[in-house]
Amino acid sequence: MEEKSTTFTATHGVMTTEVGVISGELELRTICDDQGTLKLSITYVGAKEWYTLPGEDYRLHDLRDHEVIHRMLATVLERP
Amino acid sequence: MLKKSLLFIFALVLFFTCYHLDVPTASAFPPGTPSKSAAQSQLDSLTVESEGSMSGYSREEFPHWEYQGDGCDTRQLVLQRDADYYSGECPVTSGKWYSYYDGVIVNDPSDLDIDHVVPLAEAWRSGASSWSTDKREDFANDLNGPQLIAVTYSTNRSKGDQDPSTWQPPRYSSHCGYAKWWINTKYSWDLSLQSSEKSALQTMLDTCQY
Repeated sequence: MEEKSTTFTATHGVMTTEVGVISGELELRTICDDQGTLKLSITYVGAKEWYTLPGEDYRLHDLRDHEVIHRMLATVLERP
Repeated sequence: MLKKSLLFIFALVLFFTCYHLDVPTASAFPPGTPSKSAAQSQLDSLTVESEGSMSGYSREEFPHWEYQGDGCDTRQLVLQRDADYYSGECPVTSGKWYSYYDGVIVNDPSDLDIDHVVPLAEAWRSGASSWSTDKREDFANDLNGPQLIAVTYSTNRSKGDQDPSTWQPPRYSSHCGYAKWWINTKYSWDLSLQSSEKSALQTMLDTCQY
């Protein structure tokens, strides 16, 4: 189980399953378990609840890819 | 020949008159919509400052939908208010709604969301983080002002927590009403706004005729 977290700015927001688009200073968290199953979640920096990014059943065939996937997502979602 | 074309024009006029009456039916207009000049002076009086943090935020800090009696909660009352017609009491089971943001006609209430014109997260970073939970509950269930409106689920999701500097209703002719509701809500609840938000609101308010 490995967890990675990055904060970034998304002025125009990111779509979530629970509440639609959220914007501002956000935190992306990705969790990869030992089977390579990836969980993606997102929150406002400092907020008390997490939301899900749309899509599921993402699975890495090599756990070492978690790092690059996480960085790629955080970079793509950032929209200052 | 002249008679015929006159008749045709008359029919055309009649058609457009009815058509015009049919589309807005304007029941989807929340209460407390200010005039253009009132909205302008409200906008001018709002405090401009940068947004506060989202620290401590969750939707539970704004309890909704509150029970309003007779088996109805706030959501159901807005559905009834904004309907051209509906059947079922609480819950409302079907009817006809005009979604003001995108101009879509909806018949199934499950396709509708009740939008908080000023989103809860937006309110939090504009001053509501320092309120009591009771006050936030009143804000989230405000039926007296123009803060709640039934619109399509899809427009509500694409709007999310954004202010008018990054999201405006896709239907251009709704920009006037949207700006008035946004301004009036921030004014009534003494919430601040950012300068980018203020200039977007001004542009939208300028599209109003009255």
